[in-house]
Amino acid sequence: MTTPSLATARHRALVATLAAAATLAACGGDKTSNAPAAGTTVALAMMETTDLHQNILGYDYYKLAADNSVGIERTSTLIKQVRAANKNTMLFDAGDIIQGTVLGDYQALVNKVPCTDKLAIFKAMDAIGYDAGTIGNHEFNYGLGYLGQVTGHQFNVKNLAAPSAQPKCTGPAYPQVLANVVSTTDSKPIFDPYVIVTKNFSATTPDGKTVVVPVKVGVIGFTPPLIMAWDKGNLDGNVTTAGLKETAEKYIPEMKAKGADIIVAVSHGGPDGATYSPTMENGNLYLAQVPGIDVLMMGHMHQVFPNANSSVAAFGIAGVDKAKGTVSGVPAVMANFWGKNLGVVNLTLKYGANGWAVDTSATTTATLSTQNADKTYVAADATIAPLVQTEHQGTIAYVKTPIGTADYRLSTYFADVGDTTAIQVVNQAQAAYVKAYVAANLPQYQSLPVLSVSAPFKSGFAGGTDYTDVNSTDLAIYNAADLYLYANTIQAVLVTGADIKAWLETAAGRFNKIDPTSTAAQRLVSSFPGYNFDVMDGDGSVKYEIDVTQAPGSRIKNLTYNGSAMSATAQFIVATNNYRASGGGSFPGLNGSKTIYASPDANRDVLIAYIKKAATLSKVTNGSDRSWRFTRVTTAGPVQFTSAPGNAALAATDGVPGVTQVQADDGTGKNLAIYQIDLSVQ
Amino acid sequence: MRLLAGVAMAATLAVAAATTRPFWQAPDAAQAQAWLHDAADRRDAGAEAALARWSTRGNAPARRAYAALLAHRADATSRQALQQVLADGAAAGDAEAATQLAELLSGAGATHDDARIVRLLAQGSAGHVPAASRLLGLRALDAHDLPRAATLLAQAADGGDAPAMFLYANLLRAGQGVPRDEARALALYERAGDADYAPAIQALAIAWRYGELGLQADASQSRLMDHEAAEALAHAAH
Repeated sequence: MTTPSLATARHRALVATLAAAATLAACGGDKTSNAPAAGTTVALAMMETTDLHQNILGYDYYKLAADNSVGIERTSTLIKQVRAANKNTMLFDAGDIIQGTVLGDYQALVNKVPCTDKLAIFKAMDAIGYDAGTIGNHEFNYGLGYLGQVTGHQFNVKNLAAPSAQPKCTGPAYPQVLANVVSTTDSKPIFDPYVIVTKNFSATTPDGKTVVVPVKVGVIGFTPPLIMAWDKGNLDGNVTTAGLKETAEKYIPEMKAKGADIIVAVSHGGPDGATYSPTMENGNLYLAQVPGIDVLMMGHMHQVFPNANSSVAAFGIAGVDKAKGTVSGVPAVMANFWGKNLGVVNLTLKYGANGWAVDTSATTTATLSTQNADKTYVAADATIAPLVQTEHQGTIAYVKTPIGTADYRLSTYFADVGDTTAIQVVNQAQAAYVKAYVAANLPQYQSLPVLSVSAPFKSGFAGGTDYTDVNSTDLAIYNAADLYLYANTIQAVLVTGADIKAWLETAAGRFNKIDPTSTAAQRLVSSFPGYNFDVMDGDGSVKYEIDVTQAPGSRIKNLTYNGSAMSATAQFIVATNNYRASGGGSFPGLNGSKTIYASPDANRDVLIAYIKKAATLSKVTNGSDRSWRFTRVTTAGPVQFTSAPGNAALAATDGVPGVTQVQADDGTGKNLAIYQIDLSVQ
Repeated sequence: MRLLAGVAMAATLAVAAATTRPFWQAPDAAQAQAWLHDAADRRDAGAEAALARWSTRGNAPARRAYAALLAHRADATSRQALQQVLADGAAAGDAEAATQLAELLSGAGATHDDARIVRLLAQGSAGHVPAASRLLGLRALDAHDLPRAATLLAQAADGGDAPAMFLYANLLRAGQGVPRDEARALALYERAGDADYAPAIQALAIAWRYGELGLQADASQSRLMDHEAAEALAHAAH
């Protein structure tokens, strides 16, 4: 293929410009020019959103509560502000749009969006009005079939029917571009690699007149080539990826030849100072070096750029100016994620002998935040929520869908004193999962017992409402999120009985040392975090006492396994999470070296699967194993702790004796009561 | 052609025909080895034979490329060949090879010669291989020698090893083996998080939730970090 000369390209651009200008004039638009006079300038604000991850409304579906820190409904307010302040604007999105919230999963997996409907996030984006956008790595998470459907594409790839046999579904109204993902069937990009958008901008002539000029803006898109590894199951054999640099070197001249006056690279990635590789995750340092790129819109890293104070290593490398906002000299932005920020590149275009060019001396970059200086948030754009009410309510109904039932209340109000109603089922789920894996895949460990640890993640830190409390017969998905707060994944570690004792000793740091002779009131719970108060369980096989009259490190007493003292040298497999197994919490011996299985599955998902399979959780089976208790001791004075008020009877119901509420308000203003526990009856 | 100095020319040129890229046009020896490695990775027997030959003759880039190729194979013959290649490298003073060999010898199914493993890790650590310093640091942790663990993990962290950053940060926040320094711990968690190391991001999620490490408690920021951790875990799973 012969690449047209630059002069030819400029000629074509000029012709297009003249034609567009003539069209505008015929339509009775603003005062137009036949050809911009040399020195004519265009002030243009190019905006970027990225990594929206289906965050449309400021809402946390796991908490079923508002979260004003996220959601494009507030970014939209910023966009409107920029549009109001600038005559010329464009808006782009740098990808990771369709996945990342429960809403995303709901529309893809639970109640699949019909072919005739537009995905909720695209409804919002189309209402806001985008000029173009690219495709992020997470767009591939649900497979090529779903991606083709929701973007309105009929991919010519091996694992799908021929394009002519695929329905043409409803996608977003704005053009989606992606240059570096190529079908193995026809060796063509599965999306348009680029688009050239003609925009009619208000311009200022050298003599100060306002005219309208058409400018051809070329937009090219990129995604991390590592999608081939991250979504191997969906992509292997169907598509291949090409490096950012090589791809840009192929298409940019073509775009120029087709008349693009300026070129915007929308690249779902960041910069990386490592030697260039066609498979590198963040190749934008090198992409921006390709001649012809005028603006770089970045994403993927979930960071803010420019940001002079950023500690992100990738923003401190040679070639990246994190204060000015340039990558390899090209103005660039990255607008954080979940709609928290809006990236803005303020360009000045100047018309000269060679057509339009960016006046780099008059270019600035910035990101705007939805959070105000006083920590409040900008108001939501009220036009967005009505567009997605059906999907929003459907998602809420989904997370409320029962996955099982329980005949007891699962809570952590008294987890500090031995109640395991909200912990035992987590341990059971983890242990069952690891047991099954070991049986199927690790024959060398099949004879070893599998135990489990978990902690009360919500233990009153933020006050009386900061406890797990599943007080409903029906257990729903959002309840599982209450039972398991973090996005950890399951890991199994191989430890000895001595390791377990040391583990539990560390966890027992949760308690202050109690002086049984003191007549003064003593606080039971120390500043040791509740999320590190690991409780071990083995379906009744493990029992131990915590003697709070002893110093930390000497508190675990009568540690038994199946009724006998646990041997210090006996080996056990313990199901836990990746954070703990990797060294989180500084538990002795846990530093990543004892992991025998690192599962890709989240503890929370394992819990949900366990509840679904069990169908019914009973207190007898799933919530009454007192694996640990305090060593009995008579104290001269009261031993006290705090929890949400009015629940003393619950402690007794859950098998923790001797608990009484002594003060309904502990005086902290956090809705916590003071309770007293009689350690002599434990 | 300067990069072919010291290598049997005839044999190499014979291989060239079998490879898909003109490796003799490579800008340097390392790039040439990388191209050959790519060819060998596509099961180009000629390219693999060339890598093996160059490796045997002491060409360090070829040895590394050949080791990387073998490391992706699980059969016993490849494992044995890998062990020999790495042993040759370690003997030739290659700290990276020494570290890889130590890791190989420490793995499941390997016959443990602990003294040899420690010698190899010491060689790797002395050669500024971050993973070697981290693994020695873990041994010091297990031996409850916290000052030595802190020193070694700091070395590894300085060398860019994300798990070491996380573990050293844990020591710093607890003041174990090193004076307590929460600000430095926070910076290390953030640095390891930037490298997509999930446990560090999870530590940040917890710190935001509970207002630890000098941060002001912010449930929303914690949620965001939790999402970041989930993404990092998903990436690590591949």
